[in-house]
Amino acid sequence: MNEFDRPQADASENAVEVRDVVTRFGRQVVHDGISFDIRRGEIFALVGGSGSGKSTLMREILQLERPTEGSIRVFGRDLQSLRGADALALKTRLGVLFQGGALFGSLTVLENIGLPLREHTTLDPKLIEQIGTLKIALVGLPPEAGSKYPSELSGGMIKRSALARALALDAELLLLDEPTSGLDPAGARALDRLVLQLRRSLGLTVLVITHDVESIRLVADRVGMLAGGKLLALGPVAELENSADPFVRGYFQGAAATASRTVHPPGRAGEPGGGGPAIPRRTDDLWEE
Amino acid sequence: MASRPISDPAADTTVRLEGDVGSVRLAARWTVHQRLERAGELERRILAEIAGGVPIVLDATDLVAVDTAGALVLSQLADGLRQGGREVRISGLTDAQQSLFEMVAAHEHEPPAPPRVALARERAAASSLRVADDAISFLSFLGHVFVTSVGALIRPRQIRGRLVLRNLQTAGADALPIIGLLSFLIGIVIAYQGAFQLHRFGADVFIVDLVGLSLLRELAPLMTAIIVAGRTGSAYAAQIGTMRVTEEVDALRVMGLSPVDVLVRPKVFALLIALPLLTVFADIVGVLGGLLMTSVSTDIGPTFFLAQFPRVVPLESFLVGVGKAPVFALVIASVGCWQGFQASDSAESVGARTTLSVVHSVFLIIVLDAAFSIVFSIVGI
Ligand SMILES: Nc1ncnc2c1ncn2[C@@H]1O[C@H](COP(=O)(O)OP(=O)(O)O)[C@@H](O)[C@H]1O
Ligand SMILES: [Mg+2]
Repeated sequence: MNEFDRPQADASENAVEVRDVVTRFGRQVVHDGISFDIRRGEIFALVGGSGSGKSTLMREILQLERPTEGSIRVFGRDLQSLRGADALALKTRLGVLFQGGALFGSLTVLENIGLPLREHTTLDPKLIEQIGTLKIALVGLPPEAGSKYPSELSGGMIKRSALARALALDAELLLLDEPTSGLDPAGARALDRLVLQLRRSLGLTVLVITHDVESIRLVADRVGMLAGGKLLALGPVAELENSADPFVRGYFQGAAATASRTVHPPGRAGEPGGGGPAIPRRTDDLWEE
Repeated sequence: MASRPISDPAADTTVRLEGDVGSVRLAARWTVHQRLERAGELERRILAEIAGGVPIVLDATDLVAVDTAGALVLSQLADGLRQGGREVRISGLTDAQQSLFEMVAAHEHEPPAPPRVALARERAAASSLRVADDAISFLSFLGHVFVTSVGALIRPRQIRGRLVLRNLQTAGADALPIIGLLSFLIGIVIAYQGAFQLHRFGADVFIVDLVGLSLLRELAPLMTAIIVAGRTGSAYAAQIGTMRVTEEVDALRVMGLSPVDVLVRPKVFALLIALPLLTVFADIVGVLGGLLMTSVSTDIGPTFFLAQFPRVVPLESFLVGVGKAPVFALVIASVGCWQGFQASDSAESVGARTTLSVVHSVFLIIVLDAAFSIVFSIVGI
């Protein structure tokens, strides 16, 4: 066996270490000194109200933005000093599901999933196609969805396809921005089970941003709650639900109450699980009212 | 990973006959970052070394890293070996690896057929139909814009004044520097070339006619329109196209707002005002450029040039030039907006439509300009 092939030795047992991160956009302070760790093999849920800076924190972990102050280490590497080939190598160990999917509109779903494989591995096209098809099935899409373009997909199917792309390289750290939003309850639970299964089989680490309390209860080992630029609470779900802080407790109760009100609206069908035909759009009368 | 040498798990796997069982001791790592595509060679090697019908054990004792792709390849290997009724087992998997193999086995499918690419003959037929469709669609769009614009002129409250003003700023005022610079240069070029040729006939005084007539009648309106088509028509197409992709156009319509009212008409009105004014500006600056070059390169001074100018350049020439501008404006704005609406749902189509908006409006502008010349020569202006 080739010695280069051993897993890259990292001193750190944490997948992500966030230290005293401060983020400002102009005069708006989004993060005001945030520190926490995500352990290896852990499913970590990041919660907080809209605009509390969850996506921004994720973008900083992804090296898409830099914190104004403080440091972030991913697999023991300090992002501040990471450049060039090292930064790229780290990126191939991350899989991302963006909030809006961010599928490439000019590629089919299968090609979208194949893109990271084509760029970062030596695999041949046939195998890449088979791997892509497997990922499509894993996220609960019908095989035919692979030959569709993103514009022919429903919102929930876009979410699933984007997740399949995030899983393409079997990344060690998976970052999911609101994976279950836009999915019907059954689909959301199936996705939770998939995340658990992947963690069990591949030992990956997951950072999930979500508002879905049920999902948090099912999958999350620990939860971090952002509010007012601070990490208001950090710990296992049960701990936060019984927190002495009424705000933290209320978040889960309130969310649970809203969830039970909005998740099962009578007579409203959820996201169809399969690949319904794309709705043909007429373009010739677009300017009419 | 690109930075590490890539290993070949198929080559690192040992194949041996142990008693009456074929033993395949799998290499340590089977992930996307290894050469999984070589698995076919391993299958051929096994088939060559172990006689048919002999049971095979895929021994995973050494297996330390396997991901979904690796599990897929190994399941396919096992399936391939099973052909012909041979008994194939995978042994020595950890619990986690076992669950990974089960998950992969439960989700294996044949890849779907790629989206059908039309045959050349079909494409040709479709494209000629599309040209006709597009022409009809564009004309009906133009008609719609025209009718609602007349309606808005009758009820001026429907004109969205603020949007018109904002468009006047970006399409008109912001274009002054580039149009000024280019028409100044054109004036200089014409005067220089003209002075040189006319001098050979001793016809130096006609330089004023040449600069004045060519600029006012043809070059200033044509060049201004082409610059604005590249600058503003493309922006219109890109803006509306992007709004189509992000469903903002649909949002407008759902709110009961007509996309034409909000997106198209302010642009049309703004350009109908801006383009003639820009043309006048180009006339003035272009003639100044010509005047400058004339005084530098010939004996004709600025005073004579300015005195001669109204005598040889009739008012009609100016009016003909500026009169073409609103027509060009209508072409640029409506082609740009229409192309924007044709964008389908991808970033790529926005790019293609933006390009087409410029190509088509420049084409139409030049064709219309030629048509104007013919008509004017018939009626004798
Ligand atoms: N590029 C940016 N420029 C300015 N403000 C931004 C930018 N990105 C995010 N913000 C602001 O930062 C705050 C946090 O945003 P975000 O991280 O997207 O919130 P959320 O927790 O809902 O994901 C918001 O108030 C948003 O307006
Ligand atoms: Mg967000």
